[in-house]
Amino acid sequence: MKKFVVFILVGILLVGTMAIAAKRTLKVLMPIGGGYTIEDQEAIAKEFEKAHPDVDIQMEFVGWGELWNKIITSIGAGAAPDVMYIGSRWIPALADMGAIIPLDKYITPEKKALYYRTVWDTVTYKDHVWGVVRAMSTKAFIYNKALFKKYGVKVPTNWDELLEAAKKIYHPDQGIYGIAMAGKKFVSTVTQFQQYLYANDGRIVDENGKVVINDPKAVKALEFYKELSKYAQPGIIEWKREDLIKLFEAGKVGMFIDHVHNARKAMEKGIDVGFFLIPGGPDSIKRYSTVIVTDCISISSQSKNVDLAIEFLNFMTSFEKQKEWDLKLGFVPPMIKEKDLPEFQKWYWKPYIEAIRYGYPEAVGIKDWEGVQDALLDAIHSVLLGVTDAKTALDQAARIIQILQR
Amino acid sequence: MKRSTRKLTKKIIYQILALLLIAFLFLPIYQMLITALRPADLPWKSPASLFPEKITLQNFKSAFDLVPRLPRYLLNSFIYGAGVSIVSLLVAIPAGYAIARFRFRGRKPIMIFVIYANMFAPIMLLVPIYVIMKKFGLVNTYLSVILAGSIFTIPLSTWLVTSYMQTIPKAIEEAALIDGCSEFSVIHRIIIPMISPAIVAVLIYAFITGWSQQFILALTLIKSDELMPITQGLYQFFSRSSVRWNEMMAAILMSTLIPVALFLVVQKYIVRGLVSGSIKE
Amino acid sequence: MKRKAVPYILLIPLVVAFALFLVYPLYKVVETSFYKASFLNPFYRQFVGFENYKWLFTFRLFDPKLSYFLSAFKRSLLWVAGSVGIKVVLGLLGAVLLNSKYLIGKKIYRTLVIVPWAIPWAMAAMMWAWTLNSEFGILNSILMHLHLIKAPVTFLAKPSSAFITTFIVDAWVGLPFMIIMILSGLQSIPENLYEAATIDGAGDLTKFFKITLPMIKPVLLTVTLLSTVWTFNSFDIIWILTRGGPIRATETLPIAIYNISFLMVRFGGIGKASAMTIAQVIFVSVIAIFYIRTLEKGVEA
Repeated sequence: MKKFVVFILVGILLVGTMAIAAKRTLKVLMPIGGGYTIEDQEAIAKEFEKAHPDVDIQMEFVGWGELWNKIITSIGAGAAPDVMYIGSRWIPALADMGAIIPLDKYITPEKKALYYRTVWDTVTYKDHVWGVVRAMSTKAFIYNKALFKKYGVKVPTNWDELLEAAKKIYHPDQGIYGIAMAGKKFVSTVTQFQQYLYANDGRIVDENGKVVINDPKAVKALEFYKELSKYAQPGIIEWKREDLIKLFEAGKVGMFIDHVHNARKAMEKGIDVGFFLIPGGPDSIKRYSTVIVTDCISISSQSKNVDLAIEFLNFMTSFEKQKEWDLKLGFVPPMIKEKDLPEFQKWYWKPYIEAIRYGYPEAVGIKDWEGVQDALLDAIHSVLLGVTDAKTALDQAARIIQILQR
Repeated sequence: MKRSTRKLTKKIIYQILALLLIAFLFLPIYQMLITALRPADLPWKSPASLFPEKITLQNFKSAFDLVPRLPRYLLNSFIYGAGVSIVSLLVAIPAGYAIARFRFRGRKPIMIFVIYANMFAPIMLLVPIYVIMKKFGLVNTYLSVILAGSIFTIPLSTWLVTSYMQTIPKAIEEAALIDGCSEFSVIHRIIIPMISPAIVAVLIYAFITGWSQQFILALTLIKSDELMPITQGLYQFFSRSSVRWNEMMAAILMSTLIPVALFLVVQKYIVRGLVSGSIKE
Repeated sequence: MKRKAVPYILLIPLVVAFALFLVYPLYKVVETSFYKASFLNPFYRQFVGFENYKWLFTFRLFDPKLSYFLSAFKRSLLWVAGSVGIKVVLGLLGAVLLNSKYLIGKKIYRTLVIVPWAIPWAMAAMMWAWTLNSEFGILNSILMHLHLIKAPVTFLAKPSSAFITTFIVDAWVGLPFMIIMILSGLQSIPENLYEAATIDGAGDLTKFFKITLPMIKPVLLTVTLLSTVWTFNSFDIIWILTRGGPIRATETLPIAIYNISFLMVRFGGIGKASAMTIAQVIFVSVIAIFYIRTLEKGVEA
């Protein structure tokens, strides 16, 4: 007993002297863009500093397009931030290189129980958890009710009806397009194609790690993407998914796949917006589908302040903070409890929350996402531009992805 | 009579051609202007209207909301520009003087190497420069971009100083040397005042280059937002998912004004320096 | 102090700067090109001999005949030819115009022509990105108003048009320098040569080919070579406009080097990028030799 008391006292002393000692700094890398502002994120840091006067949080910001390169160079420099906001799709590459640490032992069962299982799947690699999800998205079709009515189109429930709807609305001479699609060299273009890939039960890599991006289901999906693109806005290779909302707001397109927060923007601009889930393709037994994309917060293996980093991570992703964040940015809530909040009861949220059930994570089993993404973009572009057919393009992509998966 | 009509047609054709040239050179500048002046809440039109339907200055204000660190980025760019031009001068003046005024062993190889060095671009040396900066603990500091950036301006700067110095007679320096001045006080008291046009040319050339052309260096060497130059700072908002063009163009407009104005003021010196620099030996 | 030592002392800063940030990095590139190394894990390096150089010629992406490196290199050459071609032709034309006695308002034109020079490349590229936008950009709108096209052109969306568009934008960036340099060459031609030719009854074209062109040949040659190298190294414009797409149509050597460094992280990207860099250095050095030769000739003359 005596020993125990001494132990405790020494412990308190140690903690006490540590607090008196110099401020502990924590470097945090955060993205900007897509609703993420510097002020919002710095506000979180300020709040944490207030609660922990001995801590100095240094936040760095970088645009999404450069986030990957920035992470790579920081790690290469041996100057990686302690806490990094990353796309969950990058976990395998970073984990394989020993750049981030597994978080299993830091995640309490209570924390684990807060989130949907699928949410944890997106940050799990080789049976370890490598990040805590910060933002999640599912997607659904957004459609312009007025245009659907004008051209007598019903809400599509399968791929034939989807194509038919796009065809009927497509009136390029009036500047009206059936569907808005993305093709720019950007991550969201791959996600847009993945929507159709998954909807047709296709995968990039299957459960056993085999590259299946060139199997018939995937080929069918890319062929369909190409077919749909005939009724899309011109020059889709110039368009990022994030910019398509401009066309939709201008009342120029019948439908497209997007986040709920963009749909709400269009509503504010006076568009009568409807929603429907992404229908399953001909080779799928599932009625609906969606790609689940998550971003997460990971901790660098170069961090000398792991405990503090974990503390900050938990602070940022507490139920309260996560709720505030999701409400502010309009992302799909990753925590189960959040779905009972009044905001998420609103009608326009329903399809997105329902979609979670049908969702499949963006990058399961993919070891080097950036390279794979590049290969897929090349395949999508070749087909959209009519350089090759879908089968050849995906064979090509499969060949490169196989090299990258080694 | 016939000759004068021919002259007139020539005049008209030349005028048209010159206007076309200017139109090509000012096309994106005009696009920037009308976008910056157009109200952001006006929906885009397709095809775009050639003149802004409504004019507003609001974007110049909201650019600071979109890019809250805009003034900071501008300040940083100024620091990079100034740093690069100072380092370039400190290296170029003594080197230029040595090459122009002395005949020594190794002069020609040095000259050739200076010309050769002018052919290098940051992309070729990006990774090792990064590693070196890391060794010196300079990654993510002003100094890293200034030092690395100077390497690419030093060659032409040295060349500018050398060639300008060759155009001025040696008599004055020689007189001073005979009077017992040291080589270094000759540089300080006589050479520097005499070559001031070349110095101005180097300053501006290196400043503009440091200001504007360090994009990829900064992209690799600079991590924190506080240290980013304007090109990189704005690029973040360009590479983010959705671009707000009105504010973006207003921000670009504001941040190009300084170098453009500076450039116009001193263009004569630059042109003179460049012309004497890269053509004659 | 010995006078002999003076120039060497004066050159110390230059030599140190070059040694530290040019020669040593170059040596590092050579060294790295023999290793399997990646940005992500700098502590892991494995000597692989000429493996990376072999990779240059064996790793194929799309082209059934050419390797990834060779197709990027070929693309670079064509791209440079396009851009430098425009710069030289328009530069010559512009300079002749701005030097002509028939042009009114030369001073204003000369000032205006310089403006794009002072705009940072990265920003110029961003401005162009918006100008070229197929739906909302002004270029399409102008072409449609002039009835030159019926439907909007998607400049950056197709491989061939993206290739051409990016080198035109690059030419835009480099044109002011070209015009000013050639103009200065023109101004150094003595007026009496033209007067004599006029008396002999020579027309404008004859004068251009018989007097102007031969007189400015040295200038033209030096700026063309210089511009070739700078254009070959061009990165910002393509990176911002297309990132090397679509389907790698604009992936020139510098872009390929950057992509390989960052994209193939598990793959030993840095070693492979270094091997590609060496190839670029060799090309640039070849041009540099020509350039130095012309400069030397200029001195003799």
